[in-house]
Amino acid sequence: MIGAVLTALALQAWTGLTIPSKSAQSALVSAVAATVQPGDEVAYLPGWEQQWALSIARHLPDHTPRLGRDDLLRPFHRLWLFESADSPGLDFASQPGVKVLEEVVKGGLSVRLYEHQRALEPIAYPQLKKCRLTKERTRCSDASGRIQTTELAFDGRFAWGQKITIKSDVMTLIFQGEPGATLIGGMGWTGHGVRHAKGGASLEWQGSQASGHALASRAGLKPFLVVSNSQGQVQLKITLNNWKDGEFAVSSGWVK
Amino acid sequence: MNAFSAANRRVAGALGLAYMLALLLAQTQTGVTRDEGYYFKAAREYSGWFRVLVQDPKRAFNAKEIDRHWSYNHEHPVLMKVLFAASNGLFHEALGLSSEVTAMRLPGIIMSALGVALTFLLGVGLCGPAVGWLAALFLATSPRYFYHGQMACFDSAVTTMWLAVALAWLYREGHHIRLGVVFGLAIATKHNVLFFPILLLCHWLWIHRERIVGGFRAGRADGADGWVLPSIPWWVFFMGLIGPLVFLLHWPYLWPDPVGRIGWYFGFHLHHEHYPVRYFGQSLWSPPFPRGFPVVMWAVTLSLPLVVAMAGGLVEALRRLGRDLWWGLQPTDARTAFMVLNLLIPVVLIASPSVPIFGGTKHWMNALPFGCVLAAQFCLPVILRLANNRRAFIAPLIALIVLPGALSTLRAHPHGIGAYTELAGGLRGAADLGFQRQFWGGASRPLLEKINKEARQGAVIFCDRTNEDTFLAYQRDGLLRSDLRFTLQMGKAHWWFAFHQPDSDWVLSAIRMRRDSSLVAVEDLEGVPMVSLYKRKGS
Repeated sequence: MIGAVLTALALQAWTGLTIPSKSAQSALVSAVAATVQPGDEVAYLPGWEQQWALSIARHLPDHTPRLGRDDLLRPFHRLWLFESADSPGLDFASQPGVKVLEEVVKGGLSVRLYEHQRALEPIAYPQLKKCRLTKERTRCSDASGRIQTTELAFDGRFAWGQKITIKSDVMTLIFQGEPGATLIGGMGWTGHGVRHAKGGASLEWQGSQASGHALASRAGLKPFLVVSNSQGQVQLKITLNNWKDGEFAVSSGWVK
Repeated sequence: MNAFSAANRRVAGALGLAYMLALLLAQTQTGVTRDEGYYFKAAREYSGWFRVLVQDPKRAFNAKEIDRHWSYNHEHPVLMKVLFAASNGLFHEALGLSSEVTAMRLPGIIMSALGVALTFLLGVGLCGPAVGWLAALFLATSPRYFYHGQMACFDSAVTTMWLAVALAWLYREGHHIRLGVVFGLAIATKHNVLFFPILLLCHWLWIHRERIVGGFRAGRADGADGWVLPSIPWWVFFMGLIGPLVFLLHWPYLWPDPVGRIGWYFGFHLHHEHYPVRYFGQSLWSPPFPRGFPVVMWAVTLSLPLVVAMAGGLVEALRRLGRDLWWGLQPTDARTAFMVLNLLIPVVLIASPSVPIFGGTKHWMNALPFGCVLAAQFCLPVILRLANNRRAFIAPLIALIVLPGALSTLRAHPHGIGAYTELAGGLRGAADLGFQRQFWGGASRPLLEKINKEARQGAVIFCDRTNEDTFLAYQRDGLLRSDLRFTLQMGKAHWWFAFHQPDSDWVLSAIRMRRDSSLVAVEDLEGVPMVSLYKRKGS
């Protein structure tokens, strides 16, 4: 009992000390706002912490932030990542081609500017039969279902990408890039999709090599990395195991 | 059971009064929930019938008149809603002493305070004042009990009424009518108490197990053959007759067609809809739900000392019961089994995979006072040893044990529905683990001031989980400007609320994807968002 009381008080103190200050968050965003260039992306962790979003909306109104960990599976050119002291942490600097250009740490809060050294497209647009999504065209559909560029929800986590609604039992999407480019991102059930699923589903990626696997049972994006074939294509085939009306999500970008 | 001295009663009264004042003060910051909005409306409709009763008593008992006033929200009995109406009529409308929201909440607050007082008395009755104090303070400093205690709802009230039935049963000698009446009032509070007779049956079978099992054995020494049912106690008849009678009499809606309407009432709760719950990062929308849900939720929402002491108290009690069973002893102390059943039965019911689990921990909150008493019993030897028989040390030690709970309660206020404690890593830890923190649309209240200041005349507000009845209640109480308008259509709104909960993920996404929306405020606790406020650009 004594141990429980002492542990509880220690945990109360520890959790109390790691609470980020709202004004410090705002001050940090404000401090780097002048150096943020047009086209730079911003993100914050933990992804549920809306005070970061609020500070970004105030000081960087033209920079729509990425929506948390799931949304950071896609590549980026330049990314300002704001983090609270208890952030789960993502170390992009250990990834090939990514450098830390700037780092500010203040009172447990931090912001790092990461830059990817290689040419890339932060969001990849798939095509369904002959219909290819673009920045302007947000929906495509055919008899097998439809794809839509939108905000994706995974039981309280979010990302930007494509919602895939399969009306038949198979759908094939093609991502067109350059030969040898790498498609990087995440794929999985949406929250809505996993809730209404009537069975399992399997994936088959076909780029320079083929790989297939079953989808996890939870909502959320599972990271992938596929190198395109000699035509610069990556093909994604989703098969429902004897049921229809499945909903999935893919969030990806190209690294050349 | 120990008798209650006058001093014990005074302490119970003082504890209850202090808790009532704390709740009254706290609720001035706590948002009005969806259900409260419905119950406010129900209370006002029911009070219309009482006006007819005074003006034209004969007409009041006419089936048409009954249906006109009592049909709304007939999925719940009306004892508490009638008390809300009476309190509103007296303290708000007649005397003007309080706002409507406070007046409506007062009966629920009194019931919660009574729960703390009764927990003290249960502890005193079983083990003495030290256990009573610790048990009452364990309950009072449970963050979610403190939150539900402020509401004009039934959850803390039924927790108290369940406890009142238990006490009435424990002190039933010479008071069988009181037991029947208390049981009737309890089932007039909420349907949870309908499971209390099952608890008593389990207890009766436990107490008489040797005699029941012995009846099956052939060739008994006394020459008796066959199975002999132990005598059925008198209190069964008092509870069985007076309880349903009180229930029927308290609810005019039942009178025109008692069998049909009670049947509908049972049917409604047997097939209750499910609302989503976020649990370890997954949204649970429909059965089967995880069996461990109530135990895990208690572990992450009650203070660590209470969790440890409750587990210890339960193990100790089960050890005593197991010893009796192993040695084939006639139970010498029926109270241990009674306490264990009161703790376990509500939890086991919720652990059934098909039972609705929404709303956090409120559906099995009626077990909490018993858990607190068992926890206090477990702590008592430790306290006495540490105090080394010096009475002056007992109070500080009790205060130290309940301090973590009090801190969690304070840190979670006014969003106690989203309170998480040490084992979850506090509020932020629970957000990382993917636990739910909002259910019923109450969190918007602190943001009303911003809308009042900044919204243009006649602005339209999309309130997400805050419903129209609540919106209107805020306007009647002057918490929200009366020119502002409510909408369920996102496209028409100038301001949008988005709650951070599973059934509002789509709301948050839809608002964020609008090109004309901008995030202007966040209501959070320690950085964990409860509700976000967006504004249409240029409006």
